[in-house]
Amino acid sequence: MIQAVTSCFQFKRCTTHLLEFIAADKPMVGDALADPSDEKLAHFVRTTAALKIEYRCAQGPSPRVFELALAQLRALNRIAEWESGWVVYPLYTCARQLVQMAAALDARTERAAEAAQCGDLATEDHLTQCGRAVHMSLNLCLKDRDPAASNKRHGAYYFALLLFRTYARLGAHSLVTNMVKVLESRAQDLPPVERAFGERRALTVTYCYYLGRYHACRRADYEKGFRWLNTALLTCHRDHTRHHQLILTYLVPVAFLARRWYPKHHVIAAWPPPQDPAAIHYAALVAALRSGDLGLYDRELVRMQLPLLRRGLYLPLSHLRPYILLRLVKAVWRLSGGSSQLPIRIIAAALAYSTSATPDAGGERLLDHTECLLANLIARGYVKGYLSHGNRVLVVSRTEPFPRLVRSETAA
Amino acid sequence: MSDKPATPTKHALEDEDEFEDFPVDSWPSTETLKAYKEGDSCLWEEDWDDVEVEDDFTKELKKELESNK
Repeated sequence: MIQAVTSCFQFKRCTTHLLEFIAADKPMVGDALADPSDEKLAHFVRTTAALKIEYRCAQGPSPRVFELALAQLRALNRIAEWESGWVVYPLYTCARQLVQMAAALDARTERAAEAAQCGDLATEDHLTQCGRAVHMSLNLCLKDRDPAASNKRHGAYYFALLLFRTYARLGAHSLVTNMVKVLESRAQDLPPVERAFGERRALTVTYCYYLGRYHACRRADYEKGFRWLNTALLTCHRDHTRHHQLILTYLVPVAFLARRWYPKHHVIAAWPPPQDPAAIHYAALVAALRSGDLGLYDRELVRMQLPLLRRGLYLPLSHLRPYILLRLVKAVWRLSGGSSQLPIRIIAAALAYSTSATPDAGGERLLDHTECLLANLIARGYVKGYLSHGNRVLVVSRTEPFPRLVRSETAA
Repeated sequence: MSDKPATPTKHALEDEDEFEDFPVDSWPSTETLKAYKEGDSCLWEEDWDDVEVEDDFTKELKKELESNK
């Protein structure tokens, strides 16, 4: 086995021998007598051998196993600095193993801490330590100045993907922001994401999912969010329905905000019926988007409040409200015969009806509130017209009262 | 998850869905959703500008508006 591993480094290629050697749960085949002559490689081989033994003794991840896996990644990082692009995948495999162990250990510590009712963890958690080592891997890829096509700069995406996952678990949003900024500033030196991952589409999907979520939920940049999440969805394997649903949880609101697209019935109808009454399910929301039922939308937002907040989706979803209001105004305009003059009183009645608000006596406040909402729609360019406050009338354009807002892919 | 009363934890408002690892890293482009659904048109409706629904809400709204004339 050692011979096969050494020859990978000699001939600059990654084989299954090397990947199995890195894996802590795969037993060592043969002996470790043939220590490689290169000191850095010998250190990596010795650390990995010790990791395998410890893993077998502990029968899974333990703090000691984690330390050895961390030492293994650091050892491989030192070697990788001088290697070309071939080293990216074995290094990624090594780092992924470490992230998985750290996540498992931290989840265990957290459960124990919860059971013991104690406060903050006394020691630095495994994910934080692991994040630093993986960040080294990311940096050594980014720093590669080799002009040849065989450089390892594409590896930046591989480690960014692992860090997205690590930082998400840590809730370290500022670290994600920094990382995305660095990657964006180096974009001209990096290949496109889909080329960097090639046939490894699982990695393209995961990377695009996290990046899309970042742009949509952290930056409220729905256009970028849409592009990344849509690429994630379309690149996903057709049978991985659980992943489709996770991506669509973000993509459904973002597709509407970016393009005014909403999912066809079968797309969300196929979701398994939620056990939890607060689970995210968009069928009613989509119905509200189509009909302008503002009350239904408000109730859905309250119902799903906590899961939406947890996912950073509450803000994007609250940005849907003006569109539903617009839908309602348009319905009122249509039901009143499409006249260019709409009494505010009528729109206010529809608003009160849909939100089950009781129109207060005299209705002056409700009329003012309605005018205010309409003024916002006009300012956004969703309604073409003006408010005649004195007459309490909304006057809309005869030719195009409601400019088209759907963006088809070709026009985008 | 557990039947204990919920206690606020450090992750109370953080990411819940772990984007699980896929069983395999690679699959051919012919097995992607894009190849299967032939792109966006099978997933999304683009008729929001023109859609006119006649659901219960709209019918009730119509009655409400008539009573307000």
